[in-house]
Amino acid sequence: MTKKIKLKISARLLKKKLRRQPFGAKKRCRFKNNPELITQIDYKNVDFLRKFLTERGKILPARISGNSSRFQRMLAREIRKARTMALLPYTTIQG
Amino acid sequence: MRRYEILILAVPTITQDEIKKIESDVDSTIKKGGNIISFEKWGKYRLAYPVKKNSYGVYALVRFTLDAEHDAAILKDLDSLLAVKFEAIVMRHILSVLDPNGSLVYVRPQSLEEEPERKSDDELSKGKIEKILSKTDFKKNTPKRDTTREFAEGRQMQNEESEVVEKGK
Repeated sequence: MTKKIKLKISARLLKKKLRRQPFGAKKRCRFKNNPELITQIDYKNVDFLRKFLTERGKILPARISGNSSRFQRMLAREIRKARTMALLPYTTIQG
Repeated sequence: MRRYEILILAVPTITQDEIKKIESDVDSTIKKGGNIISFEKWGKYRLAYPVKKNSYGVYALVRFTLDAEHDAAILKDLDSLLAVKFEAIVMRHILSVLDPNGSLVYVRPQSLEEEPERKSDDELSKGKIEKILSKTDFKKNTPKRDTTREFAEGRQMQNEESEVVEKGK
């Protein structure tokens, strides 16, 4: 009977990530090397921004939408601006 | 020369005159140290959530450039204009800086109505309406109704009718 070796925390996390990988192939950022799409990130461009919200109105996390950190930040900033101007909802819970 | 834009959210019951007033005031404050590129009225929209108990709102987008010298003072003036002077009309506004070399093309959401249709309230017509309303002061002029008597009369009528029906049989 081999003793179960307790791995260090970092190694445990790595294993966890490896386990997650098979769910979806490595997602690529759609904004990288695509200047046309980058100009579409604008708080007035409501139809485009809606793609990055859940049905409840929450902003999708980068690990689901596949955005790189820089564009995720830009996107989130514009979504929050649109929310203050009532172009996008804060939440769409009913009742 | 920096490029800015302000998106203004106004009350849905705004009139053409009020919009023109906002436009002219904004114009005059910006002209002190810059130029207006465009003043676009988007029209009436359904809001994502009620703002000051209004489900609809009228948007307007102002784009302008300002010189580097006086821009802070002018922006402050604009802010106080929209927040204080037009407090009853303008619900929200947001200022953002634009890329000085970027294109001015943008996509805007689908509107319900284009231009706000309400015409300005005439001072004369306002006075007229008040006069009419004061004449027909409903509480004073209607005679007091004797409700008990009416009820009794109504009952009598009913009885008479039933008698008639019986007789008819």
